[in-house]
Amino acid sequence: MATHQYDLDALARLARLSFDKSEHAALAQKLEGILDLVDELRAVSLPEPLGALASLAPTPHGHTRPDAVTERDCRDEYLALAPAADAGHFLVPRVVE
Amino acid sequence: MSNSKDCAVDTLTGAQARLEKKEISAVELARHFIERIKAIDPALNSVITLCEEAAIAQAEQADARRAHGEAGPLTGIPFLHKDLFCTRGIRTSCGSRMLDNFVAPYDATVTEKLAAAGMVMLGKANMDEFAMGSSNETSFYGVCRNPWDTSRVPGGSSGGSAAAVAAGLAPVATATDTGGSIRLPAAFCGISGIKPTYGRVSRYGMIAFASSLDQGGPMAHTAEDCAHLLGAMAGFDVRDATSLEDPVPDYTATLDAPLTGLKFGVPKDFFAEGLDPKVAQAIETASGQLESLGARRVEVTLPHLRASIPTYYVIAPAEASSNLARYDGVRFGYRCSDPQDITDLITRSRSEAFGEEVKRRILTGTFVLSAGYYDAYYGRALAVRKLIAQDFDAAFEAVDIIVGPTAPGPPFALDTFAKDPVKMYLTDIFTASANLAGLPAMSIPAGLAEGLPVGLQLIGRRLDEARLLNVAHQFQQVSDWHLMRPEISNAH
Repeated sequence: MATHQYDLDALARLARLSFDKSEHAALAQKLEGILDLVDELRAVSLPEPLGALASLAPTPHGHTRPDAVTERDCRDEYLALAPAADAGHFLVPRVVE
Repeated sequence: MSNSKDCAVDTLTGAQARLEKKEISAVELARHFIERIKAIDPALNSVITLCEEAAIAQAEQADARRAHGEAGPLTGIPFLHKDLFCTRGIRTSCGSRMLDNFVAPYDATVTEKLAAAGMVMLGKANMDEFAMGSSNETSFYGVCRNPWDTSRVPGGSSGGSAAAVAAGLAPVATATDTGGSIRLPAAFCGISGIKPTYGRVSRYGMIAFASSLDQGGPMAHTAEDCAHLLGAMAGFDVRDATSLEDPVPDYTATLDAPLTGLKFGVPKDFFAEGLDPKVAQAIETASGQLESLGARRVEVTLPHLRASIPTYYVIAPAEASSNLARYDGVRFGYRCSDPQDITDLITRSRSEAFGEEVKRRILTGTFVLSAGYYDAYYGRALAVRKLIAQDFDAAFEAVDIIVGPTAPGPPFALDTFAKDPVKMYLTDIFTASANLAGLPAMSIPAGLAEGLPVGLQLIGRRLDEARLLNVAHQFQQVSDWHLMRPEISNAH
């Protein structure tokens, strides 16, 4: 029995995934199980306002590097990996008619 | 089961000693393991890509370095590389159909460092697809099997690395750990493995799953071998914005330090419902051995341990859904045939190339980040993550390390959780919290339950890997679980 409010088709569209209608029931059942699991977070008592704690979530030391070009030109190597490329560009189906 | 005392080269230090004495060459060593992989791995499926020619070429270079007096401690040592570390010119699949045709144009920092040390890469190890799994059953290249019982899983996601080391197909292997992916397979396969502090090992060229949790580390039979390999893998990297600038100590220098005065905490929260009694007994026995070495046991608590799984399964899928957005069939990787338009190209490429578990996690991540649910799920998970980290801070005011089980039970049979992924997720109950807090944690062999390995987990303070390795090494001086080998390792 689904208890969470979501539209599987809309979620899949957002994630750029598609599923056969025959897969929907089994997928929805497993997603419900996962959402039931993460719903256990609601039972955790938070001692402070959510925003303050969330902003203190562990973060590593950040560091910066000089704003200088250090990478060599890899255009041909990267284009060689592409499923389709032509004249120095990635090829995709026509977007603008 | 057999004992490894006669196996002179199945450990890093054993192979190292024979190379230094010139009793064996790096080429002979590489050929030895390549032949073992060919003979034994068909029963395990721990290797996705065997790199025979490249390995022999690297071994020849290692022998030349040694002949010229330029060899370092790891020169000529063979290893298997988890197939999510990019390797220039050699396929890096991440266990996915999406990257089945992907040959990285650059090396990961870890790959570069191990090559610079003169290590010999035998091949790329099997893994759960995009490191999402606890059993190595989600790989596009097929399940990997546990060498102790091939009807059981080796654990995941670094199952190939663990199974290969346990079966003697390589003396050491690289691995990664996002929620337990080094420690769980190490426990299930009866070997040692350490997940370092977040930021200790560069993530550059390590294909991303959940960027705030992912961390690379070594797997080996012994803590001493882990110390050698971690020393070579770790270090600051300007190309990883989360890399730590702290100097890397010589992890082997403190292995022999006595444990007198060490305080170790055993959280009662680990011994709750769901823990196999035989695993609990093995952990109690190991605790007693630590006490016999001069360490003192202190009871501590981790009150939010149970919340670590729901927290992890919000944060990790959220980050995964973002990280995996790059796989669109346009620039590299799999592309569907005859796309009708750009949306069809992206959607169908992803749908055809990602496996079920990866799709479920992307959908979960998309949901918890979507408008109207972000605060309720993702924001709340970040807050609980902080509480989990604070629990560790409090515990480490009283103790030097925390000790407990790595997994709730022994390795389970293949397909056990095929219909219920949530039950599979719960196998990470003792491991995910260290990732959420960014702390170093290790698993070492500590017994058998029904003839299958049991792992002892050690969790340390931030950047205290040396102490974990010291405790593990001292434990291995008074126990022989790390010397056990599965029967399959004698098959060749």
